[in-house]
Amino acid sequence: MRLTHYLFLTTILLQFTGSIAQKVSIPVIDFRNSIHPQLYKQGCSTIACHGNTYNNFKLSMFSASPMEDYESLYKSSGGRYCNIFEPNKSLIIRTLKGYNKSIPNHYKANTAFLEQIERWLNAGAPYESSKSIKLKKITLNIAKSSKIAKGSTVELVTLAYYDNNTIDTITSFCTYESLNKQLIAINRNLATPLQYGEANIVARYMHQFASIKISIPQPQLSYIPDGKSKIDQFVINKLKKLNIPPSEVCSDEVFIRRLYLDITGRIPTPEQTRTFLNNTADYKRDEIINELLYSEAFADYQTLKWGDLLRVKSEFPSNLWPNAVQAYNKWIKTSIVNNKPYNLFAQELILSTGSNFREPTVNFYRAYQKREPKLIGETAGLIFMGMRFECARCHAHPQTSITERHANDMSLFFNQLEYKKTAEWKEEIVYVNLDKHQANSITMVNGDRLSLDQYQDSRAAFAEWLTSKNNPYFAKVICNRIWYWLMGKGIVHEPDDFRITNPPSNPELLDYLTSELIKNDFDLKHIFALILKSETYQRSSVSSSLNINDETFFSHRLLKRLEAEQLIDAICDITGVPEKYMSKVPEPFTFLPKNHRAVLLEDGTISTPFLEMFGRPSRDISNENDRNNQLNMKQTLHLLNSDHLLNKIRQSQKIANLQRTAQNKEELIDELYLLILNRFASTNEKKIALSYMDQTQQKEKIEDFIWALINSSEFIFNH
Amino acid sequence: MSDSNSKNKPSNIGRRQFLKRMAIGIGAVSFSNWQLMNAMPLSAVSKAKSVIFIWLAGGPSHLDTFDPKPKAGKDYSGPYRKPVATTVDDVFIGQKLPLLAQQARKFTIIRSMTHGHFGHETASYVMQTGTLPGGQLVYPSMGAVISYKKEGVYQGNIPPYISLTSHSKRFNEGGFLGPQYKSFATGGDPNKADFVVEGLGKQSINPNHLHDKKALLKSIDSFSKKMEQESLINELSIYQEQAFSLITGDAKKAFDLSSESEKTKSRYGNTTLGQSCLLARKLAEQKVPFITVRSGGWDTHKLHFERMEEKLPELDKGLSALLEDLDQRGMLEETLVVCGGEFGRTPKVLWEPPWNGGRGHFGAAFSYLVAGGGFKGGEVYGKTNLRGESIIENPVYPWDLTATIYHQLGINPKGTLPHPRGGLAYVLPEINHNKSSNGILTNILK
Repeated sequence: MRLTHYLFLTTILLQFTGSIAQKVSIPVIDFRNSIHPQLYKQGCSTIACHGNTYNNFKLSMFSASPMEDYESLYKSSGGRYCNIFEPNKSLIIRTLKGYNKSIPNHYKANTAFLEQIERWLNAGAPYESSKSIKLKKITLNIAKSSKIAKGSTVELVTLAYYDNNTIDTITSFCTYESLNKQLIAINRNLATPLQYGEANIVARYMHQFASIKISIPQPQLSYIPDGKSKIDQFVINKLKKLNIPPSEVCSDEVFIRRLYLDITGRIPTPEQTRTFLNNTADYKRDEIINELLYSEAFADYQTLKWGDLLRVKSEFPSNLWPNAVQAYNKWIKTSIVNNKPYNLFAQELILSTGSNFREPTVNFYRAYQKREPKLIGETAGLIFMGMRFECARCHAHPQTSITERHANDMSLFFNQLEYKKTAEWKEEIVYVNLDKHQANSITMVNGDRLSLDQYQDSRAAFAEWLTSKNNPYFAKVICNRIWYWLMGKGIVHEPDDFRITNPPSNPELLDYLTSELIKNDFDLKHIFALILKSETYQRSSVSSSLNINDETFFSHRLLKRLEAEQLIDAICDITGVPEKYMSKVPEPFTFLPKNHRAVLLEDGTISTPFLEMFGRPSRDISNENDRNNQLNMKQTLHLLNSDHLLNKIRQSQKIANLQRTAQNKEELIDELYLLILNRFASTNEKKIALSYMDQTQQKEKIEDFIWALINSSEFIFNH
Repeated sequence: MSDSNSKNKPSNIGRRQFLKRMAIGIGAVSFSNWQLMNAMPLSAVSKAKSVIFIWLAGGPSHLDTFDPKPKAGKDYSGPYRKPVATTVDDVFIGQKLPLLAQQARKFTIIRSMTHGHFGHETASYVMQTGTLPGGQLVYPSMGAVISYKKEGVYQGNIPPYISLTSHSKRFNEGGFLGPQYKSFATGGDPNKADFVVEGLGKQSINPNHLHDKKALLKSIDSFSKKMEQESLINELSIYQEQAFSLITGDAKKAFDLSSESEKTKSRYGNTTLGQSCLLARKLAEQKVPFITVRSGGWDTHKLHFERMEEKLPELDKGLSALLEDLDQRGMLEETLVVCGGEFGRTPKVLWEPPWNGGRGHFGAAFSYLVAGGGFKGGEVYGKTNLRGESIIENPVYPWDLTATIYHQLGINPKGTLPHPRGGLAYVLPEINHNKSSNGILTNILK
């Protein structure tokens, strides 16, 4: 039977991958290479089944630990599960065959799997036979005979490369996943492209992963002009490959509003808009980009972004307390104003020690629900490496090769951290206890091995590794993050989920940005400028029928709902009626001056019902998606009918003044459009406005008109 | 309280069925009443439709409310040395709560709440989520979990989780479920004549004016016309339509206090807390799943007793009126009322300056009141020592109370929630992982 099985395998191999030169091995059946991958594939090790701690027969989640699982299945059960002398009496066989009526979930066990188990038991249930070999890597390929087209069936072939230089076809033993299920459907190893576009498929075998990209260009040929800047070239290359024509470059009016929102977090004033629109210089877009990148408003808005990432908050769960919040923010803002190289910025955070009031960076180590080295390691990994070690805290990450060991090793850098109180209320000293015994070396997630010296600050080894120019994550992650901030979608998306099973949509583009950052000594403004000056950034959000479905390759601008802070600041700017910001938790109470802007709120604890409703980040976690820009009905209800908003319009002295100083109604209408939508009104819009206002109750009509502009999609979205 | 053994009897569950469960290992940690609960069909025990949580922010003193200790002396009980007898034999409560004492057959006092946290922010989180801090996840509050679990079950137009009148400032109510599960805070002051729910607006509106405005918005929104293929633009217009129908519809009448008689209003007390309790009843009538009444001013480090002279009568009126009213309307069975704060206060009074008769934070032992929704009435559960400093009988952990509330609403406390990063999150991780748990509080359930 064994022979037939492998003969069958060999046939598949010759049929589909005939061109790949290889030796085909006949491995001996054992647990490590034969049974264990099946436990994953059959779903035995999921949380719903034996991956759950509460299950009597416990397997490692997602089959990350073969040895543990072997012990669990074979050794520790006292021979109940596996009886090598009488295999048919083994509980595992009885269960899979459905003899064990109390366990209904296993009735439909796959017969091939059952046969494999029987053969393994007959062979004496070895863990790893002496002849067995180690898996080096797997690759995912498309069978040569497959035609790649919309609606066709694409056959996938997975090969395993072993350390004795043999190669094996493992197609039917792997699990497959489509990373975009709308685009490509998957059934076993058969993929069906459903739409035009590009998506990845991932195969998994024995906690190894391989992915393959399937591209289906649109059939309609479009003329696609070449890209201007380097960024544009990389983007256009991809669009040409897929026949997706890009949208036009946007108008000056759209550009100026978008730029101010993305760089300073606020809409431009009528004066700023006018100046820009009246400027006739050829390079006026580049000029204003340079100007804004060095404005204080840029630093303020970036401080907000970093406040979100570093979870700057007085109350739960950061519990930094107001004094420390102020110190921390001041440090962040100063770093941005001085355009501190990003490697230095990260080093200062990681290597900090001292008082939370005097050495602001130590708050990096205080902003946790529980100050556990594991949590600190996970957070450092999330912020600087864009990786989610969180899953691996309890079990191997299901979609990456990150295991519990990696998560644990990240924590070892922070084992020496200790905290002590001082006589001053809420002051705290963060220090490194050098006497604490250290691991001698730590293996990083990419395989780099860092050696640690006893009686030294082990964080130094991490900081040096992380911020080196060769680090595979550090520069790439921040470039992608900036791209995400500006474009609304990461090249790797989400921007804090870097893993082999979530590949970049345009790897060449991301590599280019990364090399630019490193070449320019970690100057983040350089990356901002490169992106902002590209045609890719400046494309219109108005899409055509040929690019409307593209949300991945940057053929047109993606709409973003104004962020909570942007929205309320804009409403305050338009009406001139400010918000009141204060907080009675915790002590000492915080009262902010009358004209304070939401973008300047440095403490996540100081909030308003408006900011909460519009998805301002909770600062509970460092993930970018903690900021929620989704729409909901409560928001529209508030914008349409709250006294909060209506009163701002009614009480606006600024609008009353506009009414007074305007020569005529047409001028007033233009001023209102400039103030709210950052453009002049079209003839038709003027006509509508005039006919609405050309009745009694002038003041109320004008208020209604402002209300309507604020509730229009053109205002609500950054487009 | 007498049948404390019952929780160890798998009476409702057949032996065969029980063994089956053990064999596949569901909840096979220990033989507690969690197994019992697993066996009970949730619909059969789901009594409550709404929860009214009266949150006493800052932490009320347990000695001055539901766990009086007159024998401990002046240094503990301060001026309150004559607890008031309730309608239940041998049960006494604080002397400033005489009206509530008349309703004692309707509620149960838990005198053995404990979590050991002494900071507002962490204690608030623990009490309102039923979980301990730790890890990356910030848990959603009970109201958020219930809104999530009741999606599709609750069909009303009013948002499912209402805060009267502001949301929690101590932590993020939506937790990892996201901001859409945060409470809808009404804003305003229900004790004022011009009370208006933010967004819903005044009860009387001019429909013609609204119609004109709506038409204006449609006609000038040129961007939407240009972008009508975009899903986000469509979404916006759907939400705007929904909002307009709330503004013009009947749902907002639930917030109209003018429909209540002056007698009812004054029975609840002409205070923000009292009128909020009345509003909570009106919302419970509309089957809104979770209503928080937030009452501030209980963090009395200084001049504690002077402040209690004001706060306790407010609470006494509002809460007693609510229980009486719910009962008279036959709503108490389906409305679960909970009252308490993030912790209790130090049993020993701090007479010295700068406190001048204050009480500090106390998370080791404190009291909660529960009523309706399938809870028994007229019971006292748990016991503290002579001075109210430690628990000597039946400790109740926050997650035990939360689990019981979920259970009474037909939500499986051992169930799961969607993990924000695709993993698995339990509704109440502590009842799975924490040894300090006494499970569902079956002793005080009907």
